[in-house]
Amino acid sequence: MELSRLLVRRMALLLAACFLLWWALAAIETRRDLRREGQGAEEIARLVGELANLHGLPADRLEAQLSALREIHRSGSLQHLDFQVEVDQGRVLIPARIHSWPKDRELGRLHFQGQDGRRFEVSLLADPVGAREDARSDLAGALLAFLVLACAVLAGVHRISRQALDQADGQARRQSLQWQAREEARRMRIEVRLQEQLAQDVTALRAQLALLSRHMADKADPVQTALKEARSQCGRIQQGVTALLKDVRDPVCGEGREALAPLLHDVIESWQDRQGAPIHWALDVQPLNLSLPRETALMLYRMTQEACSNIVRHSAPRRARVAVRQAPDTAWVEWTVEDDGVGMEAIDEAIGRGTGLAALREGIWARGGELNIRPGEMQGGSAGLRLEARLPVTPVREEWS
Amino acid sequence: MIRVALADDHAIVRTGYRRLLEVESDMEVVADFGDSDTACQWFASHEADVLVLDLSMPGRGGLETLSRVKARHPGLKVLIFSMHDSPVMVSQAFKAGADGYLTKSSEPDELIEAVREIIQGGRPLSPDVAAALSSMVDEAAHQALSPREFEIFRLLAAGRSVEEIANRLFLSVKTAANYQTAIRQKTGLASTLEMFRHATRHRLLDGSE
Repeated sequence: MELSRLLVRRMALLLAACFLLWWALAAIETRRDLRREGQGAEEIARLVGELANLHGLPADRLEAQLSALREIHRSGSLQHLDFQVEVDQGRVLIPARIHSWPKDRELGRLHFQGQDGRRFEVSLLADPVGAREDARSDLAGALLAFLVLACAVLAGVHRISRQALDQADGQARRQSLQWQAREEARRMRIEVRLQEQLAQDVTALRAQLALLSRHMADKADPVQTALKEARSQCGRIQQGVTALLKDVRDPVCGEGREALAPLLHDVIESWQDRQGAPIHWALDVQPLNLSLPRETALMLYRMTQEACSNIVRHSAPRRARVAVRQAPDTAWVEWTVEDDGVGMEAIDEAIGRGTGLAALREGIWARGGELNIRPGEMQGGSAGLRLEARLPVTPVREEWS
Repeated sequence: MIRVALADDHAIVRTGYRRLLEVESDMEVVADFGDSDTACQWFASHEADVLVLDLSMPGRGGLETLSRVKARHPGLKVLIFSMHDSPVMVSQAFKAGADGYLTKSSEPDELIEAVREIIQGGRPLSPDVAAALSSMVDEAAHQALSPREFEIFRLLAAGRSVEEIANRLFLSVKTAANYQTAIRQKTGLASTLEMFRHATRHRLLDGSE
């Protein structure tokens, strides 16, 4: 599946989940509001009933009636409504929550006369405090809902992008591994063609040239010289083909585990044989009898081939060292190739320019490992270069698929 | 007159060497074959002095052809002429009864000389094969060691240092080093890696080292 389609699908799911969450929060809030409004209406009805009792109230029941009204007043359940009860010329029996109020806030006045002739006056007032509290509560609810939704969206986006990146990563690793497998297959085809065609043709050609030399032994010197050079050139071509065959050949025979030290020794030996420059090579495999799964052993073999090739072609060192270590009870193998040659000034640029190191890095990454390239640490030489890689002992191919 | 038979699945190579060998006054190419079965069938009713044989043969393969032909004609000299120069292939060829081994990287004249040498009882080897064989060292190199030397050889092959071996076997470091020198001289295995290769080839390591 394409990455963009995956992202759109997952984001749509995330938004749907967020909408459902918002819907649930809104439903809870609405139920709470309805319950509060219902309670307010009940309290107003109760207030009206208690106020009506003031009319014709006997003096001995005044305190009990006032207690009931105070309880309603204190309860705060009267939605947006306040009241004040006064008796005889403004003596306040139950004060409103605010001491003074503008005219426009007064909703009305009710008058009652007790049994003993006392006159009660009740002022009904609009209550801005309750309205403000409601507004604050609504705002806080909306803010909370927004925060919850925002956190959910952020967490969801993080998770989705992480999954998408992991998936894209896995796909790239798979492609890289497939590319490397194709490379190995291509090497095999090259090996077959080199061995079955080119090498045999050169062998036959050398036989024909040898035959010609015998027949032309009495010919003039230039002909003899040309034949001799042709034979010599054929010999060099054959040596080149043989060297190429060693390069491309898959050195790992079986499907099981492979001892690494002899494999790497062969690589180093081939470079020792090939170049005339006096490079002192060292190989250090710990433990010496380290054996690895075929795929990992082949990967380390190819990595060492590439690194040794780079050293001989570009580094001009006096010493070079290949080391592979697997610490006991670890699932990782550490590979280091170091030289004391000319080194690299701008390592990242060099990786970008060439294909060797970039392919090396990609190959290691595709197997779940990592490659570090930095100046060498060998004593006494030039800057040098050090390639360090960690690879999982067991191939990770299945994990990416 | 040396009667030579050629077996190589590449017609172009057979033709080239047939022509080259036939120029020689003391040689006669009596047959050439492109596959194993034809070669085996021919040798069922004919004889030759030398068989020049490629190891990569269609059908039974070169090694099987070599064994079968040698079983029928023990006196036949077989000269392997192959692209392969790995020590394992060379060793297998000699085990199967080859009398000489030349790689196809050799000069054509070397093949002619090798045919003559093999008839005289020699065992011609091209230089690259000789080098490959020398890297294998004597198959029984470790058998020349005393029991004590053999034990130390196994520890050295497993990558133990002289100091570790001295501690483990209650020897002085100097004595352990002397053993190491003696082992190198007796086996011809100069480095730890060579010892390791020899030990793994002969299954001398059992994990207890």
